[in-house]
Formats: sequence, structure tokens, C-alpha cells
Amino acid sequence: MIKIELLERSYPFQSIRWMIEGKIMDTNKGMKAVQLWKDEDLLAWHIKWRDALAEHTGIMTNRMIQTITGEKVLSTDLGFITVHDVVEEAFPIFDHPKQIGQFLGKYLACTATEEDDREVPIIPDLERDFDIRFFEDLSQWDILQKLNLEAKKRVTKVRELLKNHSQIVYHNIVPPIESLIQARSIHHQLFWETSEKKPISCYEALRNVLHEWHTEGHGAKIKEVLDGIDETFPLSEERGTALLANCLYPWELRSFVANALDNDGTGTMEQHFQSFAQEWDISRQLVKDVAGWLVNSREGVVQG
Amino acid sequence: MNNEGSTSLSFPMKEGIWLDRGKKLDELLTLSLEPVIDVDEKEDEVTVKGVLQLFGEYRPLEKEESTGNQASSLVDQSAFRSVEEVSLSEEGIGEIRHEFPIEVTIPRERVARLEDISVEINEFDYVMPEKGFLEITADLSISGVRAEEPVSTSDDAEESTEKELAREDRSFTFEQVRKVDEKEPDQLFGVSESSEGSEEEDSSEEEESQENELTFQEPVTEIKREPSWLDEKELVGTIDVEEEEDHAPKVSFRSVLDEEETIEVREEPEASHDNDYQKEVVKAPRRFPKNETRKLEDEEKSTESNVKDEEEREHENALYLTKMMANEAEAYSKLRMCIVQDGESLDMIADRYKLQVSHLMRTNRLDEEQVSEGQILYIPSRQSSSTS
Repeated sequence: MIKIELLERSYPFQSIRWMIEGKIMDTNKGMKAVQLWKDEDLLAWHIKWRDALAEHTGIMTNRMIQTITGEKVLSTDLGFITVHDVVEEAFPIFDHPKQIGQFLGKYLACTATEEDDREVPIIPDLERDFDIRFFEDLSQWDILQKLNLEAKKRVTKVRELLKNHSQIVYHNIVPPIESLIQARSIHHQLFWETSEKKPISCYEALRNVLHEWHTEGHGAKIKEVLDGIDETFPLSEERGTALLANCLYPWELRSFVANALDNDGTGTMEQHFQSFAQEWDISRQLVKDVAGWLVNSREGVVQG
Repeated sequence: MNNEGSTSLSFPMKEGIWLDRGKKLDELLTLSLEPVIDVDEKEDEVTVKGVLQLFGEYRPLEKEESTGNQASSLVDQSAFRSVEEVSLSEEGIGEIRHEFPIEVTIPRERVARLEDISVEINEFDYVMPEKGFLEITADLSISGVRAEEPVSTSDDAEESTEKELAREDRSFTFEQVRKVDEKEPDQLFGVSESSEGSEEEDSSEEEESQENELTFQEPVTEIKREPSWLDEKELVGTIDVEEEEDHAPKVSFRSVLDEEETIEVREEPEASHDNDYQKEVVKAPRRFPKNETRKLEDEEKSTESNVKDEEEREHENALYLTKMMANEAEAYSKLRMCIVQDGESLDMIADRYKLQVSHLMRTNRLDEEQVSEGQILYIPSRQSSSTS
């Protein structure tokens, strides 16, 4: 357990008390988040990446607050501790689709180290089959089987889309965007709460954002988001295709299988299936939107 | 099988289903409704539990392709089918699958042999008032249930019945299990049973409540349900229960007679292959004032002229539906009803059901803690879906 006394000795805060034990504390300088890291390499990457994001975008993010001695990390027996600002107010992202798109473009283009622009697959394990045998007792088993076949066709189409591109392409990795809730507001300015997770392909991160944008019922503004992204992260031929391939790939089936096997107890199998089915249809609409936007965008370039 | 006194319990059901994800029916090809039940004996009860499986095939309306305006190789190349389209057969036939859970609990003494218990669909019909919406009506009957006593007009029989009913009235509860919005855990069904000396009463209000409509909806499925009136005599099995009430419980009921027994109408969360849905009642529930009783239509007809003269007991049950909605965090709510007995206070009742007085007051919309004999109180409780 992280001790308050240690934090009080190490950071320039006073009157510290836990609001959420081990995670959020209240101090004389506002709420702070405490993060415990086990992976030193990942921590080092995040320190660099967050600094780069702030520099590259001019957007505030949850960088590591320095200790009294000027260190960004507090090394303890438990692991490495970092402390971050907490911003409670959510940013009204759906009111500013183009601006959010511009930020996302910068986010996707941000690199912490030279190695971040590396050769990573656009879609990891693209050829992996989904093992749905576990769901034979599911009441929607028949439909699931059909969806699995359709998912395979989607993978084939992804392969087809990428056939003129290398399966392994040179592209960026970024911290995953787990939710648009990560966009916070401080004095009406965007504050981005960066995830502490392992970095993923920038296209997968973007696909997740766009999917959530749709899920939240703002699909009509997707084109504006893409317009904004295009300004700071041009979705040229290869990038646009990579994004489309990511949207087309049946992530939701992969997630459904993984979640069900994890059996995290958050719902019945039928409920998981319903969520999966909804995500499937959202993905379908997202693919239409992205493909349609790419067609328009490319036609515009040709005509221009 | 001893058929003497044996009869069946009948009740109509009316359900409306919105097809999932904007499915539009062009033509309904087949439709069937089949009961799949288990009969379990537990102490002094027999439980008939299972589902009514609805299965149908339909031909969907042709959808306009979204690529119409900007048909392009990239859009076509990346297009894939929706869940609905995938669900269609090779011939383009879609399937409707839906299950209506039922659970009926019958006093053990009413059942001569478990093997005789069966659920049958007597009549079954549907209408499509609009595209994508299917309204199903059916008459269900549970056979193999023995009438406890023949209806008798003799003084002895009346006396006997009177005593028994007086005892029965002591504890008449009614349960229903439904999905309820966490934010609006409103009451769901109500059953009113008058005790002895019920006054004849009919009200337009009751008629209105019969028109109450329960709607289950999400983007997907909607089930409309008309309010139900259940003749107590059907419940206690002392009359010819083949005589159907237009507004009998749609799904199931449970009838028990003595103090430990309950009359229960229960509907479990309905699982759909096609749809998930939320439930909502369109109209506000009707509430019973103190000591309110209701005569069923058949009783009214038969006893209209002499009801004031006779001291016959009329035991009435009223079912009505109240608003409920379900969200992502649906839970199943069980609602019971009890009749306040002489000398009972709200405190005592709250204690009995391990509830707070304020909760009881809120549920019953009481302005004060005062309750009186014969008053109907709704006893809510909540249980997790996993236990429902």
C-alpha cells in the first residue's frame, strides 16, 4: 500500500488524504492521481510520450508531477510511483468535432522516440481465427455462427484492402484511447488524460475513438472529426486505407470472445452477445462513413 | 387420472413485439407459439415453469443500399452485412425468435398427479398493425388442476367456504418479477382481493385500468400488454376456470390459499433471440383506494340483481400494470401485495417484509403512516437478475 507519509515527504503537497485509497488523493493543490508502475520501460516511454504530446499539441495532459527533488518518478519497494493532476470537468467534445479531430490527428502523429515509428502490423494477428466453440450453448448460437462466417469475410476484405500495402507497415504507436471521457476541461481548455496502458497502433486507437463517437450517438459528426484529423494527420492513400482496414476488422467479435472467456461476471452471455451485436452494426456504419469520407476526400483531391 | 373436479386454468395473453434493429416485415411466412415447461413439486406447491417459444419466419422489406449515392469500389469493397442481414437465410428469410417466460405456482392439493399438468395454447393469432411490429394474442390453459370444491349454493357450503375464505384472506400476496428501471422502480402489477362482505362495485376507473398497456421497448422489441383482471375464483379453483376472463393475467399466476400461501403472478425477464428490450407501461397505473373491491364482469352479470341481498363473498383480483422501464443495469423487481389486517400498522408490515416504513410509504404513495384494515399495500423487493 502506498503510504501518505511517503507522498507528503516526496511531493510539494500538504494536507494529503486519500479520496480513493492508493489512487486519488486530495491535497492543498487540488486532487492528484497516484499511479503505480511495475514496468519501468513502459513508464519511461510514457514519460517521454506525454512530454512530447504536450510539446507537439500544446494541449495539457497528465504529465508526471515532479518530486521535491525534481524527479518524475518515485522509486519504492512497491514499484515506481508517479503523481498526476486530476481534472474533474469533462470537455464537451461532441460540440467541437473538428477541433477534437485536429487534436486527435496530432495525438496520432506524436512520437516519443525514434523507435515509435516502427514496423508494426496494422492489425495484429490478422490471420487468427475466432474460436467460438465455447458459445455452443448460447441461444443465439446459430446467428453467432453466421456472424463468424461474415467476420471471416471481413478479414478477407481487410486483407484485400491491404494487399497493395505491406501487411507490416511503418507507422506510429500511441497510448490507447480507451474512452472519450479522457477529454477533460480546465478553464475551457482541453486537458487530455492519457492512458497508462501499453501503446497500440495509431490506427487501432483512432478506430476505437471513432467507434465510440458512433456509440455515443454522434455518428452524424464523424465526417467533421475526420476532416479535423485530416488537417493534422493527413489520411492520404495509405493512412486512409489503414484506418478503413482497422474499422473493417471485426474487433468486436474478437473482444466478445475474449471477454466471454475471461468471464468477468459483468453480465450473462446473452447480454454480452447483445452488446457484440450492437457493436457489429455500429462498426458497419462506421465503415460506411469512413469509406464514404475517403471516397469524397480522394475525389476532391483528383478534382482539385 | 382422477378427473373429478379437474379443470383447467385459462388466461389470454397479448404481446406486441417490435422487431430488432429496424427489421421491416414484408411478409410473415410462418409463426408458431409453443409452450416448453417443466413441472416441479416443492413441498406444498407445484410450479409450472418454462417459456412460450415464439418462432416465425418472415421476408424482410428490401432495403435501399446505402451505396446508392456514392457507389464506389472502396465503399463496396469494405461493405459487410448487418446482424439482421446475416441472420437471414440463404433465401433471404428472416427468423423471429422470442421467449415469453411463464411461471405458475399451484397449491399441491389442487394437483392430483403431476403428469396431468400440461400447458396448451388453445388459440393463437397475430396482427401486424404496422411494419416491424407484431401483435400476438393467444389463449393459454393449464390443465390437470383440480377444482378444490364445486361451486355450491347450499348454506353449508357457503358457511364452509366463508370460513375458509376468511382464513385465506389473511394472507393474500401477489408477486411479479419484472425488469424495472433502476431509476423508476415502480410497481408493476396489482392484485386486489376483497375479503368477506365485499361491496359490489364497478367503476369506470377499473375499466380504464383494463386498458392499461405495458410496453417493453428498446430500439428493438416492444411488448404491449393489456391490464389483466383475474377472478379470484379462478385463482382458488372453485369455479369453472374454463370460463375465460378477457383480462386474465397474460403470463402466469400463482394461487395459494392458506395463510402461508400466495397468489402470484410472475413474469420473468423475457429473453429474446432477436431482441433485447426495455419495458415500459404506456399508461399510468390505476391504484386502489382503501377497501376498494371489484366485481368481475361475469359475476356482475350473474349477480347483478341480488348482490345486495346476499352475503355472498366476492373475491376479486385486479391486475394492472404500471410503468416500468429497463436500462443497461436492469434488475428484476418482485412485487407483492398484502391486505392490511385488523390491528396491523405500517410498522408491523414493514417489519414483516424487512422494509423501511418510508419505502413502503413511497411505494404505496402514502401521505401518512396510517393504514386501515382491508387496505391494499404493495410490498416491493428487488432481486438480482441472476436469481430471477
